[in-house]
Amino acid sequence: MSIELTDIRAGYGGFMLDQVTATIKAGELTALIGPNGCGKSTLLKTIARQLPLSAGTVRISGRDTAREPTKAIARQVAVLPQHPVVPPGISVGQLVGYGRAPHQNLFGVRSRTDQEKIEAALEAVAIADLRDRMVSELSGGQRQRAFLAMCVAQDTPYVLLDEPTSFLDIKYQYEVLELTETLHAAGKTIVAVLHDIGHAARFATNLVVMKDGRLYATGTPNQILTPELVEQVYGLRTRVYADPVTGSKMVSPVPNMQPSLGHETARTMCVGLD
Amino acid sequence: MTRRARITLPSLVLLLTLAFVWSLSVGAVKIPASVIINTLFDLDGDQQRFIINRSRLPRSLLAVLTGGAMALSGVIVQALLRNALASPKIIGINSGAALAVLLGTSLAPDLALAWLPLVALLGGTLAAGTIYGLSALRPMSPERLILVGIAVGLVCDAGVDFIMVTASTFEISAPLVWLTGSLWARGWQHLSAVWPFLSLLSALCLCLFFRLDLMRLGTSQATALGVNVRLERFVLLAIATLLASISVSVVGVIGFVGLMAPHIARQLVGGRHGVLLPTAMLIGALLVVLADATGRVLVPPLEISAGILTALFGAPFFVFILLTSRMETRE
Amino acid sequence: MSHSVTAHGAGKLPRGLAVGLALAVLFSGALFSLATGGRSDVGLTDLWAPEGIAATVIYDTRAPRMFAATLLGLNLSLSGLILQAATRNPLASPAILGLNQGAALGLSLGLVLPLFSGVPLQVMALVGAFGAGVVTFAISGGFTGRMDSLRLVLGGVAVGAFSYAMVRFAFTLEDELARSVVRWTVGDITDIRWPAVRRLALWGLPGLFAALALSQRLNLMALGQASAQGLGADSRITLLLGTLIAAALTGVSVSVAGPIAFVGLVVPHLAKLLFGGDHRILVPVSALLGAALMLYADGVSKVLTAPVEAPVGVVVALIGAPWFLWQTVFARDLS
Repeated sequence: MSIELTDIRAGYGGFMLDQVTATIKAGELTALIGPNGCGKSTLLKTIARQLPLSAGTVRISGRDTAREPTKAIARQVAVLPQHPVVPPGISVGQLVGYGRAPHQNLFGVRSRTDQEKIEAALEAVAIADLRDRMVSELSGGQRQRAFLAMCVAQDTPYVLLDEPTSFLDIKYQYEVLELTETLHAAGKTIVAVLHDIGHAARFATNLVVMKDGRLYATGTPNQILTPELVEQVYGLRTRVYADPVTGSKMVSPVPNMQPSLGHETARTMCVGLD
Repeated sequence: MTRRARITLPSLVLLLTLAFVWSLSVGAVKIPASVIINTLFDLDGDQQRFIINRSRLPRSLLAVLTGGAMALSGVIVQALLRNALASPKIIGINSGAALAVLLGTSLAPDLALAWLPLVALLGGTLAAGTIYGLSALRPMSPERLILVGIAVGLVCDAGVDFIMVTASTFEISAPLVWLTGSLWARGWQHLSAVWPFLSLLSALCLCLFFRLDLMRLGTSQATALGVNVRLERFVLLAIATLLASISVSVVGVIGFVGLMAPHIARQLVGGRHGVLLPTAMLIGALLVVLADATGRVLVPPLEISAGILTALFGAPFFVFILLTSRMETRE
Repeated sequence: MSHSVTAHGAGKLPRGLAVGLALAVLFSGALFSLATGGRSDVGLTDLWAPEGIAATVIYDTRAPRMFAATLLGLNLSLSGLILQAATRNPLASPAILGLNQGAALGLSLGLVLPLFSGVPLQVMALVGAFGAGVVTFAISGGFTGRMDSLRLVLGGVAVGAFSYAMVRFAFTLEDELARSVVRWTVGDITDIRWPAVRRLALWGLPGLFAALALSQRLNLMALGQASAQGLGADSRITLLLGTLIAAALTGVSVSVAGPIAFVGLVVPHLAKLLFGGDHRILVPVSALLGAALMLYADGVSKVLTAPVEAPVGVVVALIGAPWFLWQTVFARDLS
């Protein structure tokens, strides 16, 4: 029970994932991190089979996804896209109900199990009271929870989240991350692309660090998160220290004291305004 | 089914029935509603019966059938392209049909008028196929499909213009009138030629509501929910193409129905295709029946084409709804 | 939309060379337009003919037509350039945003309704074009700050289709006009004489200067709304001014020659492809290239289906539509 990636090549046009081999163990909350354009979202989409593979294999629970019907994969893996489409005139209850599609026939006839799973999902993300509201009228945080509930209703062992906290206020960011943690505690295997190293260190049990389309490092946050790694991957000098309350690792940039650089920047600004 | 849908659907059926009876009663010869009811249920017989049976009844039935088909086609296109401004016109049906008809008449001047529907059907389907094929050259997205659709439409329009100005007016006037979107002189033979296909396709489309619900969530989300997006997109677009181009082939281009009907329906009953599809179908039928009947009433004994009326009254109304409704979120 | 069109790149050719090149193309186009026509015995050698039929043909028929083609090309390509910059949408052009059709509608209403009989036709066309532009922008969310590119194009198509349906309707009310409507709606300059040329020049040349004056604001628009505002150019004002100038240029063109599509779409693209993204150079170059394109199209229209003339609008469309199609199919990223 795990996601196994073997020698994967994939990607849009010019950019390719380059020979990525990795195993994402079942039961972990894995965070994919790395600088912009390193291929972390591409990797997530490749696992979800939303991008075609040029070479290599993706096995989920031992089965090659390239040979599985889309519906069979959808019973294994739920995905929260980075920018979910908000369909007009659809209520939260209806949206969450769509999560049951992989378990239903062509016409979406609901069984009693479907109904129960939908209720459970609404309860799990605490949006049962929003059931009859239109999705298009929700705030950003509520909307993200509605889509998360849809993933929960899908009732899959694996959940993939593509930057679930982007464009959310700090309060909603933590709300979504805590929900993710709850899902993980309930036994799901979760892979999330995260932008913020601090979030990843605090919530993930496993980190996958990427750079230039390749796998750079894997391990628990406490093992691998060091100033050297951050500087090598992001090109930024940082200090890494433990959060006084939670004990999880925090990253903060080292202030740059070199006066000549500051001078240089000021001159560049003048040129830019010219 | 929500409460709104429970109220909306029966009221629309009632409205459509009223419009239908009205449409039978008006025209160059006015026939009172009581006579119509007598005639429909075979209680009476005279000259009025002749008009109703031979001319107005098939015409109004055709209006119901094609109006519904164009609306359904519009719902499919809007769901797949995730844009409330898209319409069957975007997948090239109107321009393709027009080009094919003009090309046909200018290449084979003795082509019988009876063949025009078939030529139009061929043109509309070919244009839609071309748009699909060209968009599939690169990773397909709604944006690309829309832009390629507009471009292919413009190429067809340029061809139409070229033929219109180089051919003599006598040769092209008949196909032009025939294309403007009118139910004038359409009779039982037209109805009997299309009703099996249109009703079958409409029924099929109504059954596929859940697939449209899922497709409306966008490619990534639909894939994540187990939809084979490429296959289903192709099947749904093929159904939309056939619905619209069969309609265009018998009644010409009655614009804005495929654009307006889905939009109005969405305002009335929301976005679930289970109720959206039948509602839009009823509204489309209502619009075409009303446009046809109104065209006969305004300046009798002359008729104004239904296509001109739908644009004249429909478009400003459409712009109004669009400006007052909320903006849509895209992927 | 094309990856080779840089939004705000530096000029690829030296400025003087660019303008010189465009001028040379323009001049040879003018000669082509003058040399061709129904009477094949009249050619360039008759330019110095003192009097007689040859002189009449050259000076009363072909010369006004040549100037009209030049000015129409200038008007329409500038209009397209301004619209593309002001909406930050490479697909914007008078025809696609519905301005052409709106102008045609205004014109038809002016001809048909007695209510508007006192209003000059160019004003009716301008009001129609401006109205269509405003409705299209409103549909696309242009006045609420966030302009959606696809909505803009789709809204323009809908507004255009509506306007044309209305034009057709207006002409069914008026039998005499119905005969020429088909030819007129594709853009035709066959019967243009000197008064029409004066009208085009009266609106077109001030339009050119206005566009030059606006060019720096158009450059700033390319940086996006927030940055443009930060640099002191309110993008809503740029949009409004741009639409006004574009509507005036389109309006007068349509009132003289009918709606000619694609000049406004193709020429600015070509200019950006050749000369980069600086509007201070793009404005004059687009004007010259647009004029040249129209001159060649005019020449071809006289030769293509001789002895019958194909309207110049059809010739332009036959060149422009496939170009547009090629762009949409193979463009790497669509705005």
